[in-house]
Amino acid sequence: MHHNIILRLAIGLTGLLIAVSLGFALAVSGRERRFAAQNLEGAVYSEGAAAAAYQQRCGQCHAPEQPLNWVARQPAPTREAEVFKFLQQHGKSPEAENRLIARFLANKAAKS
Amino acid sequence: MGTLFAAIVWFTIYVLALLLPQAVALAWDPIEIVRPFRLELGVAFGLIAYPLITSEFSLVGRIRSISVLYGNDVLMFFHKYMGIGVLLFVGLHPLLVSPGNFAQFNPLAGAPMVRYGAWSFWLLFALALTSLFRRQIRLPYGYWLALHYVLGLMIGTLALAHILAARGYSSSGVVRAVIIIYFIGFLIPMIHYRLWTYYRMLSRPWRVIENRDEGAKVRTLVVQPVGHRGLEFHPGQFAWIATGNPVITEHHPISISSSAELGPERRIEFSIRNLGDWSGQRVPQVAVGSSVYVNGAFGGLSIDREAGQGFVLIGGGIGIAPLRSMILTMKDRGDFRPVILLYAAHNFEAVIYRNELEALQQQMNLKVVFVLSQPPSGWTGERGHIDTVLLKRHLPAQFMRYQYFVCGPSAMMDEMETHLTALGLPRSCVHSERFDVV
Repeated sequence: MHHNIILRLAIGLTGLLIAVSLGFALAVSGRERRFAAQNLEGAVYSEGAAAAAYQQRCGQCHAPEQPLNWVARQPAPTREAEVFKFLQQHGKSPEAENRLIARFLANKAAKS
Repeated sequence: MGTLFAAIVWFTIYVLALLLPQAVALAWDPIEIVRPFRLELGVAFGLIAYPLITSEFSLVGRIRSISVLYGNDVLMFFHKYMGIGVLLFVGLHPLLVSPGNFAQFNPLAGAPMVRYGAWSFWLLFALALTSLFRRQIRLPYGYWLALHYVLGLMIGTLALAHILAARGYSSSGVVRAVIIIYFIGFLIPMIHYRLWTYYRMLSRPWRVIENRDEGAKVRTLVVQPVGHRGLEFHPGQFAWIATGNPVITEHHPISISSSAELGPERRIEFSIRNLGDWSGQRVPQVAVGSSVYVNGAFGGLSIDREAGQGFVLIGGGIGIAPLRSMILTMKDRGDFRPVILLYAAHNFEAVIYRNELEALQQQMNLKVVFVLSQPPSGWTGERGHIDTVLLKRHLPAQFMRYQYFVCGPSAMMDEMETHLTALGLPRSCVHSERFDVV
């Protein structure tokens, strides 16, 4: 068996897997979601939407309780803005989503 | 079911198995918030990397039915190349999910999900480096093999932990179930190999009857089964051999060089070339009467699989071992189809089984052609290297109906594949198997 054929087969299969992955990403990123980021701006704050946004954006690395100490240490009048500012610097998430998460964390810290 | 059809069917199943986690994530999508394309592409790469990792063990040729179907070297090379593909997907996954966040590569900090992923990445990186550069870093084969297994097991386990802890698509119960099923599918061959194969090897020992020096740094171990029926194999196949307790000593892939038509004592022979490590240090010390352990037979290189009017066998170095098995088997079967053996060597000091091969020409339809690159003075036979011109000189008019088996050093096999295809032979008529993958 010519091992060059195997190399070509492996490259071809890798190409196919990349193409399918692109298709997957296109399909899911274009889907209608329960909490579409572009619809959050100006929307009435919803605890459910905010919790889901936190879970999807931050929950992979941080339990909701984890950042509360830091959030609580921020001055209450500017707490939400401080958290928002931090989120803006932390990643490239949509601004509307950061506003939602900032309010979620600020509210949670206020209650704790 | 024909071999080719079976090979295509199993490859198709393999590709579908690679795509299944993405398909399940697509169908049972639990994500509730819009995420950017870049992040979803990173996740998609992760969902491809995981089944690639978990299927890699099945590719390495220790599953006999798969090894026989594709040939061991095909599986080894594919395993190697797809392993590099895994590294690509695993490397791109975090870079796309969280670009610029290099803290995620720190295995000692961050959330459990991040740490599992980082460990998995670095262990995979170590596995790739030790495999691609084993010879350069002088890592003995036995140590490398043990390390390869341990790292593979750790990477698979950490990848599972990473996905389950991520709670992205894996927050769907169906996706989690599929991910766990893949892990079980990953563990079963490992457990089968480690436990069941050890049990079988230990319960079926072989006694060394002879440890013969063939010259040219080659020794032949003649072994006989003790209390069992031994090994059924096709001429050209190989087996894994351990010269001590198989649980704690290395296993080495060695071609069977004796006839597949077993005698009453069901002895088989392994011809082993001194490569400096186990083959040079341990094998010469193997005492007559001691026990060895054999796991086989493996590999798809065999005249039994190919129907031809005749056979052309092209060998060099220790590659003559499986070819000898083919010749002896044909003799024992009374198979009078023509066989042409082209045996390349520097000189006669590097030739093994010379007298035996010359004698066999009188007992079967065999023509042996020695091709010496440094021939002695007065040598009137073929000299130099095997090339298209030399092949044409020795091949019969109906050479297109023959099957061709090539076994020898990699460089020689590369050349032979080129020369044989230059003669117009279809690739399906040219068969070879390589062992120097790592």
